[in-house]
Amino acid sequence: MKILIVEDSPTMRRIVKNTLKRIGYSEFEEAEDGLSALTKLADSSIDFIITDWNMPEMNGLDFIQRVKSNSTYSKIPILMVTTRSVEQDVLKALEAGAASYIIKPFTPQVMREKINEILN
Amino acid sequence: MGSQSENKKHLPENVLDDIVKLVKSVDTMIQNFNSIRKPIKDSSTSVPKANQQLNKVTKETEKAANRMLDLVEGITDKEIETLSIVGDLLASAENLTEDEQCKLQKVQQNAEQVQNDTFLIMDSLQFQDITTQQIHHASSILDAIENEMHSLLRAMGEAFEGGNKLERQFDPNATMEDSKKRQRNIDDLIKSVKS
Repeated sequence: MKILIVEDSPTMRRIVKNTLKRIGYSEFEEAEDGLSALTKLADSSIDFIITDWNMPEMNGLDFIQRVKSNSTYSKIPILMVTTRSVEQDVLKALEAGAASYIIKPFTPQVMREKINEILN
Repeated sequence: MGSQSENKKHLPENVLDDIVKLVKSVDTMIQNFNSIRKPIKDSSTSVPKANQQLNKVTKETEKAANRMLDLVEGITDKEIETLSIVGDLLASAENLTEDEQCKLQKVQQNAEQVQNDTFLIMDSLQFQDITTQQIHHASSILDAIENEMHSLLRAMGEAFEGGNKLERQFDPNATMEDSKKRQRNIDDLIKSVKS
């Protein structure tokens, strides 16, 4: 399963990637914002997306909306991983099409649990 | 048209007093404005410096976090290799004495412990993203203060060019605290929405 990690912080991208490796995933693509993530989606075959919310150029919420409105990619599950924990933000992400929501700082256990929930 | 002294004669005494007070008051205000102009001007140049310092902090912590990640990844790779070698040796246990097996099991336990600890270090490095957002929040407040100061100085007749501001995306409520509790609340919310 190839996972696209969309995150503007290089440190967080590495942490997310290492966490995914620990829980058994090995194929990744990376993008630093929503706009470059859309290019990655067009260039490679992505099975799962993990996205941050606060990013320059195109934020995570707009990115989810763009993915979900495109019939080629709309079926790809999206997991939002962000610091934003206000109820309204969670609801907005779900409405936009996020399959689940993790807040930072997260643990590998939570990451594994959410991915499994989405895939099953 | 009458002369100034003639006009004065037509003004009641109390109005004249009020006008004199008003002129003095305006004069004091102008003096006060002039006395605060320099501190405001100085402060308005200090704000971008403070922002530059905050940007430096962000960049330095990011560099440090990435250096730590380099080390952690290196340690993790070596531990995986160690665990694999120890696993192979333990698999051929019939060739080992009981004492050798015990020692290898101890090495295996230690390697697993080190690996778990390095993973915990890696998890803790998420602080970098969260503190960066907190710093961006502080910087955006400083930007707003700088803008207000420039407006004030412009109103005082100073010419000011607004510098380019960095575009910052951040969560104003970003925090490391209570993450487990907040995740539980979100999980409950998602369940209630989906049910």
